[in-house]
Amino acid sequence: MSPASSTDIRNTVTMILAGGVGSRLNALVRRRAKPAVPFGATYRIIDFALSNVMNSGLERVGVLTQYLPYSLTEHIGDGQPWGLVGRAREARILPPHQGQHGSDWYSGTADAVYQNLEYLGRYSPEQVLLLSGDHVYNMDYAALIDHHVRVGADATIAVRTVPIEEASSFGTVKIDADGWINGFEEKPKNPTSNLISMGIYVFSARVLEDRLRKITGAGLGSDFGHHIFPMMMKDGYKLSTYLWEGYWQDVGTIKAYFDAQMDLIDQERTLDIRAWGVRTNLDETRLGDRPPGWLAPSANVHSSMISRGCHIHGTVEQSILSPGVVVEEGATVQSSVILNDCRIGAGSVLKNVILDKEVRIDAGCRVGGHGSDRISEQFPSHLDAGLSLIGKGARLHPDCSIGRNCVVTPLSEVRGSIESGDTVE
Amino acid sequence: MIDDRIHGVRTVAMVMAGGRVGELSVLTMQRPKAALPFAGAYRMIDFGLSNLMRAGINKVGILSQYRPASLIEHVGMGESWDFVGLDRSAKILPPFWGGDAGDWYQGDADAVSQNWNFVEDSGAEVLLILSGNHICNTDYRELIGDHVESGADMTLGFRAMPYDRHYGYGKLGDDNRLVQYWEDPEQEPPTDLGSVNVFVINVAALRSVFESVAARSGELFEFGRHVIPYMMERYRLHGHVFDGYWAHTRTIPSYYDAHRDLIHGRIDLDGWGVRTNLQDTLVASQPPAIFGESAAVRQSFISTGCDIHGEVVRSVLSPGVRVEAGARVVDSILCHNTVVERGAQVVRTISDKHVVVGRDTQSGPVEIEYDPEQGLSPRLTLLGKKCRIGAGSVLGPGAVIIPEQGLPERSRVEGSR
Repeated sequence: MSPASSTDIRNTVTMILAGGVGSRLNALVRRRAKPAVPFGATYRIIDFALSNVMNSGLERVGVLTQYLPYSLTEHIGDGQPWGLVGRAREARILPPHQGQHGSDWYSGTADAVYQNLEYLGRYSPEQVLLLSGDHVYNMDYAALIDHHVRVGADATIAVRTVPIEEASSFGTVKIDADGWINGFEEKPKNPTSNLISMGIYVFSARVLEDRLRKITGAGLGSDFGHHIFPMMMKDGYKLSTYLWEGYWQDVGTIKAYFDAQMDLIDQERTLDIRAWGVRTNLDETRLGDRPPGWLAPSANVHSSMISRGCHIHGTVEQSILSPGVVVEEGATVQSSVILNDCRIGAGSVLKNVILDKEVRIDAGCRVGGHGSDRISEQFPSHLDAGLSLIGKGARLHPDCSIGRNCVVTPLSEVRGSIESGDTVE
Repeated sequence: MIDDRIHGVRTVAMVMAGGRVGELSVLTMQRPKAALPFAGAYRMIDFGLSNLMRAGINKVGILSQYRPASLIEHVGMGESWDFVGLDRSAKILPPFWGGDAGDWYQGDADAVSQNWNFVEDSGAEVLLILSGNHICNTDYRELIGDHVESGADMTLGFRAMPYDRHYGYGKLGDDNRLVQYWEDPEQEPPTDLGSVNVFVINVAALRSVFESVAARSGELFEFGRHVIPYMMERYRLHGHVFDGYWAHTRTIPSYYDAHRDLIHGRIDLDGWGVRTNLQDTLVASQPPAIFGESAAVRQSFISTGCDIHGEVVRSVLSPGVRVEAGARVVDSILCHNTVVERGAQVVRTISDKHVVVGRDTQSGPVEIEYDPEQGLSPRLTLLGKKCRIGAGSVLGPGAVIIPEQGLPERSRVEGSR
C-alpha cells in the first residue's frame, strides 16, 4: 500500500457481492452458494476476495448474501480469520431484508447495494469498493483505489484482456487513449473488444448513492453491468479503467474450477496461496482441530496438496485433498480434487474426478478417466471436458465403475457400472 | 450461573505450566515446558487443556513464571478450548508483587498459595491441579468422583511406573488411603505407584494448610516435598490409580519417545479430541502441505504449510517445514519453519523453530540402525531455535547447537554426550 492512499483506504467501505448461484458448478452448488464452494483443500472461493481486502488494509466489509447463505455465514463468522475485528473493523453479513420500500429479494447487483445504502451511510465513506465473491486472484485494492482517486473518476472498473473468442461470456468495455470508458457491451454475441470487466468496481460514494436512488430506486435498472454503467456513460459520468493482468480465474465452470486447482500444484506454482497470503476460517466445522496428515509406510504421494487429518495408505498424484480424507491401501487417486472427509476404499482407482464432501467409495471401484468421451446428456454445458463429479455424501458400493462426464447427485447410492455422460440421481 | 458441578462439587483447575526444565536442553531455553511444540501443530499444554474441556471444567488458571510469552499467545482467551463466555475462563497467572504477597514462585504449592484469590473467587469447593506437560487422555471426572465419594481431603493421581528417582511414589492401603509417600526416593520404594502430579484438594482443607504456621514460616513450598507429608499427618489423603496411555516429556529422550509413540499409533490425537490454538501466527497463515514431484514420504506426520521435495521417513514435521529435493529426514522431529536444504541428511535430530540446515549437511548418525522396539534413544542431535547450519557441516550424534547460533560452512561439531 502506498502511504499516499492510506487515507483513501480508511475512507473506503467494501461490499462483496456473494449472492451468486454459479449454477454451472452443478452438484457443487446444490447446497451452497458459489463463493462458499471449497477451493484449494481448506479454502472457500470467497477467501480470495476477503484476503485481498485484508492484505489491502481495508477495514470494513459488508458481504451481500442471498442464495443458500448458511455455509457462507458460518464461514465468515465474526471476520476474525481476516483480522476484521475491532471497533472500526468488521466483516458483516448483509442478507436480504424487508423495509419501508417493501422490497425484499435482491433483483440484481445494483439492487443488492441499493438496499444496503443505509449500511454504507453509517460510515459516510468517500469511496465504495464493490467486489464479486467468486473469483480467484490476488490484487492490491489500494492501488486500484489510489488510481480512482488520482484520476478523479466517478467510478473505476478493473479490467483485463482475454482472447477475443472468450470475451462473449463477460461484460466488455471500450476505452480511449487515457483509459476512460467510451463503450459497453454486456456478454456480447460478437464481441468487438477483448477488454473485460472483472466485476471489481470503485465508486465515489456520493455518485453511487445518487445513481442508485435515481436509477435502481426508480425501477429503471438493477444491475451494474447491464444498466448502471451504460446509463452513467450516456449521462456523461467519468468512468475510468484500471488494467490488471495478474492471475485471475472466474472459476464458474467445473473445468475452470478443476484447472485452477491444478495450478496450485504445478511446477511453477502458478497459483501460490502462501505468497498471496490467503487466509481462511479454520474454526469452522472442525477444519483445524485435526492432527497433521499421516502418511503410512505404504503411502506414495507426490505433486499433491494434503491437508490436516488425512490418512494416506495408497498412492496420490496431482491431486488436492481436503481435511480428513482417507485413502486406503492399494487405492490410487490421480488428477483429482477430493473434498473433506471422503474415504477411498482399498484398491479403488480415481482419475479426473471431483468428490464433494463425505463421499464414500468402497473397495475396488474405478471412478473417472475411462470409458467413452460422451459428454453429459443431462448437463451438456457443465460436464464436457472429461471430468466426473460426485455429489456430497454419495456412496459408491464395491466394484462400481463410473466413466467420464458423469454426475452423481448428492446422497446417491451407486452400484454397478455408470457409462460416460450419465447422471445418477 | 452455569452448572459446572462435577459429582456435586464445583471445581476449579490450575495447570502447572512451570518453569524451564534443564533436562530439555535447548528446547526450553526460550519457553516453559508446557509451551513445547508436540506432534507438529500442538503444544504440550493442549493435552491438559483439552482434558479439562472435556471434563466440563470451565475455570482454569495457568501458572507460569518462566518466559511465558509463547504460552500467553497460545492460550489467548482460551477460546480454542471453549473457556470463554459467562462463568468460563482460562487465565495465565504469572508471578506478581504488591500487597502482602507476591514474589517469584518458590515451588508449585507456593504458586497456588500466591494465587489463592483466584481459587477463592471461583467459588469452587474442589481444586484440581495438574501438570502442563503430560500426554494423556484422562477423564478427570472419574478422579473427582472418587475424591468426593471417599470423603478425602486430598486425592493424588498415581499410575504403575518403573522406579525413577525423579518421581514421587505412594503406597495405598485399604480404600485407597495413602499410607506412605516417598518424594524423589534415592532407593527403589516398595511400591510401583508413581505420582503423576495430578491432585484434587478440598479448597477448605488447602486454605487451612496455607494459613498454618508451617506455611507462614515458608516450609510448604512444594506439594511433593512439603505439603503432602504435612497433610498426611493431619488430613485424609487418598490415591486414585490411572491406567491408559500416559507420557511425561521431562527429558529429551522422553520427548523423543513420545513422538515415536505417536508414529506407532499409541497416541490418538483425533480420537482423544485434542484441540490447539489455530490462530497461532505460524499456523493460521499456512496453506495445506504441498508434496513435490520428487517427494517420498512414509510413516510420518506432515503438518499444514509443509513443502516437501525430498525423503521423509518416520518423522514428525510441524507447520511450514521445507525439505528440499535430495534432502533426507529420518527419525526426526522438525519444528515450525525448519528448512532442510538440498542434499542434507537429518537423522535422529530434533530441530526447534526457524532452523536452517544448509546444503549437504549431515546432522546425526550417518547410518540408521533403527530398532522399533528400542526405548530411549540417546545421543539425539539438537538444533536450537533459529540456528543456522552452514552448508557441508557435520553435526555428530548428540551434538547440541544453541539457539540463534550461526555455524559457518563445513563446520564440525562432535557429539557432546
